[in-house]
Amino acid sequence: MNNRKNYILYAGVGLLFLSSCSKNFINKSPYSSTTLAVALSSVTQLQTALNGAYAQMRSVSLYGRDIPVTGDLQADNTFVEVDNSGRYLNQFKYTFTNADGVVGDIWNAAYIGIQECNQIIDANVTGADAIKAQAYALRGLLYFKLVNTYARPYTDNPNGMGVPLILHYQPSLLPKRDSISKVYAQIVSDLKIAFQNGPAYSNSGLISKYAAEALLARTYLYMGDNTDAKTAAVDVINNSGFTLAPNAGAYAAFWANPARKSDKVEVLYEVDADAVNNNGTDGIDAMYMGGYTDIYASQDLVSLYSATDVRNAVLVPGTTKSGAPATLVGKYPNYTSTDKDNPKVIRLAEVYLIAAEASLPGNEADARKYLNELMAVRDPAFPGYASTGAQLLTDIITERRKELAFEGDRYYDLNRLKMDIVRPAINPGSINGPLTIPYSDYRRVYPIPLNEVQANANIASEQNPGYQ
Amino acid sequence: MRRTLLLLLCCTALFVGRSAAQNQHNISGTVTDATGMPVAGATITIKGTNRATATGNDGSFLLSVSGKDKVLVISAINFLTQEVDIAGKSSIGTVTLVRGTKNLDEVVVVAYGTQKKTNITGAVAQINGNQVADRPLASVDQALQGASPGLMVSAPNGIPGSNVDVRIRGIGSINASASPLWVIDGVEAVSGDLASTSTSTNALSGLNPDDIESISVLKDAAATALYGSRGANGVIIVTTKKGKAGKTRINFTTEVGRNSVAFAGKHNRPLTTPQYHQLLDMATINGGYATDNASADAFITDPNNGLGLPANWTNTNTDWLHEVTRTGNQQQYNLSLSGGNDKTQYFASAGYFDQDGTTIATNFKRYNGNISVSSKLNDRINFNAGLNGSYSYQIAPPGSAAYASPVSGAFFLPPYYSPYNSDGSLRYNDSLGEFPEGAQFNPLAIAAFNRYTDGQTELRGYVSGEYQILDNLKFSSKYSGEFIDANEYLYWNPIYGDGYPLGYGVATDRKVFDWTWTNQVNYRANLNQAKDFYLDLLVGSEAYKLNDYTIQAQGQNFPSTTLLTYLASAAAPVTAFNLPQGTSLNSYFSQAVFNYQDRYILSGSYRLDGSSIFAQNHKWGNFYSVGASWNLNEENFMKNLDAFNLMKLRASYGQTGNDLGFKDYPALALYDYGSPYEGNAGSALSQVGNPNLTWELNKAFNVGLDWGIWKDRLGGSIDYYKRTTSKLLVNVPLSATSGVPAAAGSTSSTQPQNVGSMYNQGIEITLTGKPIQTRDFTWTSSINFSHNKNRVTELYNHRPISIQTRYNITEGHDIHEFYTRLWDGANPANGDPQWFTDATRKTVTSTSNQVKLSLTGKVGTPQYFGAWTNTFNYKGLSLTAQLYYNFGNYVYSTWENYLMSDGLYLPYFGQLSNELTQSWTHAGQVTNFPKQVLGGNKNSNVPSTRYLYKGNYIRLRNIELAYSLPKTTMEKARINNITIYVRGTNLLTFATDKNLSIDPELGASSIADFQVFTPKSITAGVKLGF
Repeated sequence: MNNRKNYILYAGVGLLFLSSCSKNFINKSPYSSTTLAVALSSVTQLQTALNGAYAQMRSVSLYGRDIPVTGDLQADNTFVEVDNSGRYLNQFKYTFTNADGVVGDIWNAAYIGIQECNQIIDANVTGADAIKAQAYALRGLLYFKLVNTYARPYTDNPNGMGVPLILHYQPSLLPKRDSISKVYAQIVSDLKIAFQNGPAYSNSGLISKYAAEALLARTYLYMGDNTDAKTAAVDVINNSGFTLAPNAGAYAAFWANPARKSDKVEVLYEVDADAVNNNGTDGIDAMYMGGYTDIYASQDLVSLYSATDVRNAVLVPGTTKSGAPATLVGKYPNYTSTDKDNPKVIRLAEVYLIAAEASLPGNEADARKYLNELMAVRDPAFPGYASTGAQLLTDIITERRKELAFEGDRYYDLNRLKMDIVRPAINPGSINGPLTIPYSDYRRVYPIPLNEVQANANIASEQNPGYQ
Repeated sequence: MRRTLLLLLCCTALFVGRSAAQNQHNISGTVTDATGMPVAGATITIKGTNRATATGNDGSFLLSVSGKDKVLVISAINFLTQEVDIAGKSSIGTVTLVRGTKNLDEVVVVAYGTQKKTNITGAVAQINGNQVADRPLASVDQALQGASPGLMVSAPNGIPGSNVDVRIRGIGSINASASPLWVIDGVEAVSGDLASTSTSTNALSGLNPDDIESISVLKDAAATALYGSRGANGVIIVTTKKGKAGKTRINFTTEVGRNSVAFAGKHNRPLTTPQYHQLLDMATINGGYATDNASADAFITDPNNGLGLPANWTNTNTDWLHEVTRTGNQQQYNLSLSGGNDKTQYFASAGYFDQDGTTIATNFKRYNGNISVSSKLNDRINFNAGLNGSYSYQIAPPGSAAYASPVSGAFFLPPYYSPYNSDGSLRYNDSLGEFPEGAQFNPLAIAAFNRYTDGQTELRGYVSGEYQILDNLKFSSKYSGEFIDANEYLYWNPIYGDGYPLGYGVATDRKVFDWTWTNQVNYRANLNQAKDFYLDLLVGSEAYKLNDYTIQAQGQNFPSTTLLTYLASAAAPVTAFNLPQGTSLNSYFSQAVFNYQDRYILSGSYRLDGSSIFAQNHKWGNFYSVGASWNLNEENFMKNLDAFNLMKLRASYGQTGNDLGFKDYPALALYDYGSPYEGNAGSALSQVGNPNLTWELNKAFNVGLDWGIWKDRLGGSIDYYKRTTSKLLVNVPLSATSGVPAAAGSTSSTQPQNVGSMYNQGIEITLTGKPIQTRDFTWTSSINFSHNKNRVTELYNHRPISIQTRYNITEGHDIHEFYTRLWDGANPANGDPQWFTDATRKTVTSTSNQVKLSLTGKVGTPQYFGAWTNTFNYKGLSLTAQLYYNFGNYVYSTWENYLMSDGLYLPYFGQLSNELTQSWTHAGQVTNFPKQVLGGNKNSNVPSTRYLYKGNYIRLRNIELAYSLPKTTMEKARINNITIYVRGTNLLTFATDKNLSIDPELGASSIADFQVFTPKSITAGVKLGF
């Protein structure tokens, strides 16, 4: 009897715990992720993380669309037509607030990219100097865009409020804004490291040594440091081995081509969007030709090109969707192909223009030389600029506008040069009419986004004027 | 430590057990009703034990008893329970049961088993399977609408086989799931929408409601605490049909019919072309582009300085709503087979269900089969196994305001566009100025050329065994599993629409496999000689594992035809990936119920859960409940009052958890490898993680009263509850400068944390009676009523959380209080739009950017809802009607600001008729609709309470007239039963808001988003039983 009882007892208890499991049963690891320690543990892992950072640059909120689109739309180069998908209307009409989607998205996406660069730079891995150099370059570039988007230009007041300078991954930090000059100092430092340790050029989708130096030249120019800007720009022109598209055919082919390049023609660094990794219907191409086709070139801009200018190749006559005669933007023509257009971040043509502008005011001959070297290939029939003084600067800025149109440059030029934004006449089919935004207008910089103000008590009192 | 504790518990249970009984012998008998008809399915229990059997279809039973067993307890639904003395007998002959209900003896399916209704201390509603069977509803959840108070069921979408919102006692979560746990034959089932490209699918749609025996809705902590960390939002237990011993039975049912749109706003419909013309003229003149109708007409067709519509635009008058809607077919066939002997019983069934939705390109088909077997190895050991499988195939169009959505097409497309060319072919190019790029497509062409499908395979099965170790000690083990494969395909043709010009295809296959292995011991300890004071003890352990595997491929560059739709024809791959995911749970649970003379019941339950979701120090959680009930009707002072046959007071309190809807690894900071560049792998931080994360905690109190008088001629129950949820899973905003990516639904950096709390409290009332009961005619009436109040009591930093655009969850308010601009109609003086500047409603402005978003005081979830069901039986004829009512909420019509735009979206979007009939035309006119101005009237259409409507409605959910042929007629044909019936589903809908353009049944969120219209169905059916 007793035996039987015991038997039942043991059997019962044993059976009951059949479904109790080993400790590991409730320990699970993700299948498609790794912890931070693993993800940043070796040179190959860092290279993978760097690829992730490059991919972040392609975000729709960064160079994938928002930055190049708004850089023209908030100025005078493009307009949104009446029949539109609702995108960028606040940017075009200057009705954005701190709750605006684009205002928040650029901020968020840029800091995500910065975080990714910080993780790479701070990784305790040796033999990764070239990888880290690219992370430095991307970080410098992102801070450059942030400080120029959310803070007044350096030329306005270097001691003004810039953006929070975050150089290490500390997710719970609630930072205040750092001064514009401090942010610029960091950008210069990052880009110098990138130039010193950066890799040799392999293809246009990666930041090589000279791409970093070109970005450095642009940074100096924005700081009004023409001496350093010219030195860097001239070094790129003379020593990088890059060339301009030599003729009309090459120019047209350059913009028609959606693939990344390794020929050192025109582009030092672009954001690669290939047939597999791209933004699909949210790409920049969908804003201009195909897809939404919301945005067109302004008549004001189009009228600047002479009939013999090779750049007419990217100005495509047509109509808006609602039927008004308009000029379509031809720099992103590959909506219908699988390989998508690569937004350009820095091109050799800009470096020539930097060299020209930075030669002023001291060396007008050099300024004309670099300007006319570019003009010689862009408009072979044009005899070249012979202007002097203020007119020469105006000519250079006009050529910047023509050369860099639709690449997101114009708005920042007008800011750093303290010029008013003037849209003189309504474009046929435009949703918004003539508009002038003086340099003094508070809307010439974005507000600190609402999400940031709400999440970060320390920045709440540091909102840009006009948006409090 | 924990295990030792459980061991001790278990040992105690076993030691107090008595030794195995001896002198086994069989006892047999037959159970009949007063007319001599056999009673099938009656439960025969040996008193003082939990050993039992059931009668077969011929009413007979056979049960092994020992010499010590003295009394059999015979109970059956709708009959009074009897006790029969068996001392020294081998047969009890024929026992005649007396009709009547004494609820106390009913057995109810509860967590991990069944319980005598007497012993229940919690709030449990059991719904009979025949209430959900054979209705023109694809999934069982839909059929539960109105079945129990406190159970809110609302289908947000009329797509057949789409997801259904189920909420028990309010909404208890913000970011995790607020849906209950479904347990189907022991399977802790996956519910909700498994789809990635489809508009809406339902993981439960493969289960044929015709296969369901019963459904238990567990509402309070006493009922759900045994499910611990997954019980907070209530539990719905589904038990499928099992075989019964006796004569083999075959049942066949079929129902066929037609579906059409259940509700269309009569007063606010899309304009016809002549009406649109009128509106456009008015807006053109008001806009200053013309002075009279003639000059307005000229402006409208002027291609250079006007709108440039084709000269003959008024010749086309398309009713797009009519074009995209239709009357669809509905059919289902169910066949089942049941039988066996006292050793082995089986049940097998097969079914086919086919339903067209109310719009073009919607259909749902299900093929299903089900088999279950129960077998007794000997008197002490039995085995059960069952398998329920189905394949369903859903065709569903894109929803919301997608250019390809047929419902947005019905409203957005202006009436002067034509779906067809003059030769009758589909029109799909914009050379005629219709269907321009970047706008609504011709939905007829999309329906014809694109594919949006989901093929879902579902298998649910179990194997279980029971060992009656001692008369009062039973061990059972159950292994149950579920496999769901959702195989979706999306194809965009290359010729027209989203896929132009390359074509695009996405094939997704998601496989979910989860299993649950439960081992439990049930023990009864009699605590006195009379055996009327006893303890029912349950101890168990459980392992649960879920594997979720997705594989997806995308391709483009399709041949320029609409015939080759599969990825095999795509020239260029876009992406491909596969990804496993999974969670696991290890649990120990225990429950004790003390019963003293069926008068006083005290229960307690406890569960310990260990989950893979949380970090090392937070893996384990404790959940418990205590409950008590007092069956007053068992007291002597009540027994003398014949009137009361039931009077039961219940109270319970307990703590449960919620991790449904959590991500799989929320505790960890992770890098994902989903950001490749230049064709090389790329990694990036995907989440910041929170090692301190834990379950959402639900503390629930319930008190209830069940009563019945005059032998249940009238009865009912009333419950009051308050459940408080704390440690809410909230995505707390971090500074975006952290670079931490946003959680889904957030726009900026976030970290998941347990912060915040809310409560739901409410009252549930059920009243059931038989106002008329004669020999030939009975009238049964049942009404249930629910009231729930939700309050958010604490949020992170007291800051509101914005969800679904229209809600801004705020402390001190209902979670679903609408948040938008406060509309104040048109300015009577000039027809300008007017809003209140803020919630104080003191200042009125016509300048939209001076208007603040405000809480409106109007909530999306119904404050009062329920159903009233009446059944009339006259001889073989029966009429059943269920009215469902829903009051006290508002619904927001998301896209109506395009449809009532006061001229802004003229002439490119269709407009609703209120724009024409009610807009401001002369000074002094008081109206809600501003002056029509071409190009818009001062942003009058920004989202505001203007587009918020009362959500009150009453719907004739079900009406059924059935006739059962007299038995005498059928006996000759050897048919047990023939019933023929006609049924109307959602036949009538009364909405109190006349201006509503949309169906007010919109799911838990009450936000209209161009969902496919809810159907009404008229069907006829036959039920045959052999």
